[in-house]
Amino acid sequence: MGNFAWLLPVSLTVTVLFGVAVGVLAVCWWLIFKRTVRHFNTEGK
Amino acid sequence: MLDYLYVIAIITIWLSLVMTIVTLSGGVIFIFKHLHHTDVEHLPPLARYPMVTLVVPAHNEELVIQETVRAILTLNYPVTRFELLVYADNCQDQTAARVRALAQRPEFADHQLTVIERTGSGGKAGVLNDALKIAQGEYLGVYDADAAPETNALYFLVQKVLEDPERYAAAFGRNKTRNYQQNFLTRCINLEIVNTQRIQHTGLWQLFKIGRIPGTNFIINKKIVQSIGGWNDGALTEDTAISFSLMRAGKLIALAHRAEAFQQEPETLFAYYNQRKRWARGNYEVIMANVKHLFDRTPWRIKLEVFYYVCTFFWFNAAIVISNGIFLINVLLGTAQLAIPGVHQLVSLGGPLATLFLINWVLMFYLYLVQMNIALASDYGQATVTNFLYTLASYFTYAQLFIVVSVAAMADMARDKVTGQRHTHWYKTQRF
Repeated sequence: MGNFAWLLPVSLTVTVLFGVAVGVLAVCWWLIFKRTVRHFNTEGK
Repeated sequence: MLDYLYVIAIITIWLSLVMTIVTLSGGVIFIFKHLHHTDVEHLPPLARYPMVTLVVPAHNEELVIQETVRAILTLNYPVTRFELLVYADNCQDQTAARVRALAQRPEFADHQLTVIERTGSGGKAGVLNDALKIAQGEYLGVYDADAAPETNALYFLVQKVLEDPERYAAAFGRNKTRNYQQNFLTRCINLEIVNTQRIQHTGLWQLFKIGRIPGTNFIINKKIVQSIGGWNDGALTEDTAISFSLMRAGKLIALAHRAEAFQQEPETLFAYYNQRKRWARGNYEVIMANVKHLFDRTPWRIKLEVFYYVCTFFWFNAAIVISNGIFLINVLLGTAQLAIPGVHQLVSLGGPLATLFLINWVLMFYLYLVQMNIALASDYGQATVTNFLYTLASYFTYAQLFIVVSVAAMADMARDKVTGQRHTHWYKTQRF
């Protein structure tokens, strides 16, 4: 794939950005989960 | 040639990732903004209670109609401010009789309930157009025969449109799967619906103020519907068609996320396949009719919506089918290579690119899990270990059904184009 020498650096950049985005969203999930679990449990009582 | 195809496939995957991450981010912002508790026992009175005509189109729905009608008649909304029209549309069963039996009960004596036995054509869109002619309400609300609203659903829908009655032509709520514990299929459908409603709907509303009428559990301004010519008779997905019409008229379809209805989903693969094929084909037809708006002077929301649909239903779908095809051929050629050394694989990736794409794939799977878990965590009672396990399983099973359904719908359309005839057999979604 000689014409696509740019593919590797671009792929690397995309992968790093993608990894960061997924990491941030995973933290968001944990924050939502913590708050909703507490809230739903309290509501249940 | 194949190399170019391969690079296009990679760029397509990146674009789909960007769309997923953007929508998910919007959904997360929305969830954080609406985490506060709503005391449903002490809701404040609305500024006003506009008259609402609720319509239930029902075609052979004797199994579920009473539950839905009962739920509507016990809505938390002044009984003098809403009327209910139940259309027994070309029924061969006891749908109309069952509603009339319910109407005789003393607790519903003061409600405005009319049962209409209809023999006309046009399906659900035809029913809604008929209702449009006789409705007394300022707003028209629609509930499918299997969609029982939660007590405050109408209150929240009206509350939303009253926030900005000039811009909000309609408001739509959420639909929950009431039979989700039935089997593997209903479990997976439930996951899909939770994700669509908790992430996609909220994300698109939060970021772009884009809403789509979901077919049930919504209210719409009667005058505005009349001004755009009503529903498109015979449309396979009348909800998508009217959503586009409203947006073309410069109006918004607002998300009332607290308005909930409990809907029955298909319990067999046959019922699921026919329902989804109809939806896919209906969506294709709406996209084809609206794709020209990508290049004219229509509002940007229409362009974004058309772009989203074109990407999802055509571009991404084609990319998935082609890449799956290449993958299968590659596996076959790889196997043949063991016996015949002269055979070469179509695509052979090695070194750092292969490693990167493997990391990409793992991240994509992880993104899917994060998205599903955010959706489940934000919905009462859904963040369970069982649902997490179903989430894992559905990625490799249920999620792949979309490819089969969309290819079948595409083949149907192509056949009709070639033969010049329209073979649309309406399979009614089976009730249980």
